[in-house]
Amino acid sequence: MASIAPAEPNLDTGIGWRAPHYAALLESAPALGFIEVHSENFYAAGGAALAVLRLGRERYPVSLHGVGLSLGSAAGLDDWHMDRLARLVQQIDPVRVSDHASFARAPLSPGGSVSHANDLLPLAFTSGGLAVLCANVQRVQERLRRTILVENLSAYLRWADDSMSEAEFFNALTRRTGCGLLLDVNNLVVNALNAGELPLAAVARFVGAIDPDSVGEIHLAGYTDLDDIVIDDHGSRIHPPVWQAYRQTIARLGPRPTLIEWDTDVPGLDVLLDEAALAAQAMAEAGAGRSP
Amino acid sequence: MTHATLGDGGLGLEAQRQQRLLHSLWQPVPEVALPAWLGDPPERQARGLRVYRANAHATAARALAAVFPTVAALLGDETFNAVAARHWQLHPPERGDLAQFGADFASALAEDPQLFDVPYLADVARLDWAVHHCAMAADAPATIAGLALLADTDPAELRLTLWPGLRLLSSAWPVGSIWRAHQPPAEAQSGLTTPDKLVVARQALAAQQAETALIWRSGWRPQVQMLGDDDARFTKALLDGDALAMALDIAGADFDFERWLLSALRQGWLAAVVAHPKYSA
Repeated sequence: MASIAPAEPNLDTGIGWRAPHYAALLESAPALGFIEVHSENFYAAGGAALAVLRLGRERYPVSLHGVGLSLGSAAGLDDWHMDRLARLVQQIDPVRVSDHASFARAPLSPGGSVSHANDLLPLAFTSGGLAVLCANVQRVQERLRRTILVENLSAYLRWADDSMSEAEFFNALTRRTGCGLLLDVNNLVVNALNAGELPLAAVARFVGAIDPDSVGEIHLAGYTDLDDIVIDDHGSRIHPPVWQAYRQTIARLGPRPTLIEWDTDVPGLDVLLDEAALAAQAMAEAGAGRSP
Repeated sequence: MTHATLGDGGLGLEAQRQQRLLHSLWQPVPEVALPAWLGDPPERQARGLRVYRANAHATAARALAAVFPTVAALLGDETFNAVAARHWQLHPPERGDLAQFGADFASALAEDPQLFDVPYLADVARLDWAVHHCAMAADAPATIAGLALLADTDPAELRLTLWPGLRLLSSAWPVGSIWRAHQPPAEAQSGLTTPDKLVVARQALAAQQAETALIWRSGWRPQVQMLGDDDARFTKALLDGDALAMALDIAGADFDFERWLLSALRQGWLAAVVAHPKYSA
């Protein structure tokens, strides 16, 4: 086995940059490949948050990750939201732009005005669900004049008439629109646990079926096991099954830009950097183990 | 990909299922019409719906507490979270940006019979909302255009435009004092400790002291300052677009324009001085 130089940080790892760490990151400027922020937190015309993000952008590539585009909504996209995302992309020049394969915009009653659930609600893996998602993703890409990444969900419901696997659904999406897959390994593990499946087997099945070239970023995070259900809450260290699934995933795909997500009970910056270093180490080991 | 290639059936079905799920999430009790659409056993479906409902109420409380911190402090966590959940149910968000959620929170508080014993709460919410928008407003320009016009132009032909994020809030209650009493100690401007400020706010409340608050941003930090009657009338006239001469008339003979101008320049209230010959009657 080739020797690894852990002193050299892997430039393909990043952390979610949240308000508690705005100052600490700018002051300590740790070696990271990129930082990630939630796009919606920077939709203001001006003010402190946007100014801070500009400072962050001077030091790091920024991955803009959206939670509110509602890419899978049959009710379509919100022009107001698109306008702000387009403005932010222009201001920040991000390394990647992403959102989820989910919906949130829909009327509460048939024919009523459209509300936004502000959650990541699951799409049906049907030809209709795929067509809606493809149309909306293409609209975003045409507006932004760049391709985006679309993330697989942790879902607590699934539709009775799903007619294709999640991997088939994403392969069709990326093939038709040219978008990439943001592969959330934690979400795959959470879904497997909630379905009573073995996480490693479920992740291997998904990753084995997915087009390897489509994966543009990987997300890692913690979950909470409430005994009767597992919740994807981004509120703890990455659990061992997720690390195992991650190693297995990059062994097949090769290294990919990898994000440590932590959104609730955010710990000190050093804890996030420690998780990022573990991901970098896993990538280095996977790289060393791969044949050229 | 256009909708024409979907076939109406596909799109209609997706629209219908999404509407049904949202409807179900906004029902106070689990909906019976949805199970046929879902692929899990009934117990699992109910558990999944409970996760999304709990998410929604946690999101409502978090989002509204971020925008209305003074209201949250006045009500306490338990009451505020219940009020936030009720607001989410009755006034669902329209945007996928939670900073926009709560535009009608103040009026909802005013109409909530369970909050009639806190009659000043709606105005405190209006102040929190103004501060929130002030924090997000476009940054002030580096220089004030047309300042030299003040020296050599008839005030009847001048208009002072204020920084776009600046707001004025008049209340029959001491909203500014209440807001100040709930600021973290580091942001105190008066030198009073938090208990002192609470005493001031309580005394003002007991006296039903009306206040006009000016809300603006100094650098990155939103500021709230109580205005005297003259300053309040003058600022309102400027915000209404009145010419400087008219605004000075409205402010009254005791209004000290030079003092106001120095404050305006120091604090960043003033955006531009604009010549408007049409104002000369």
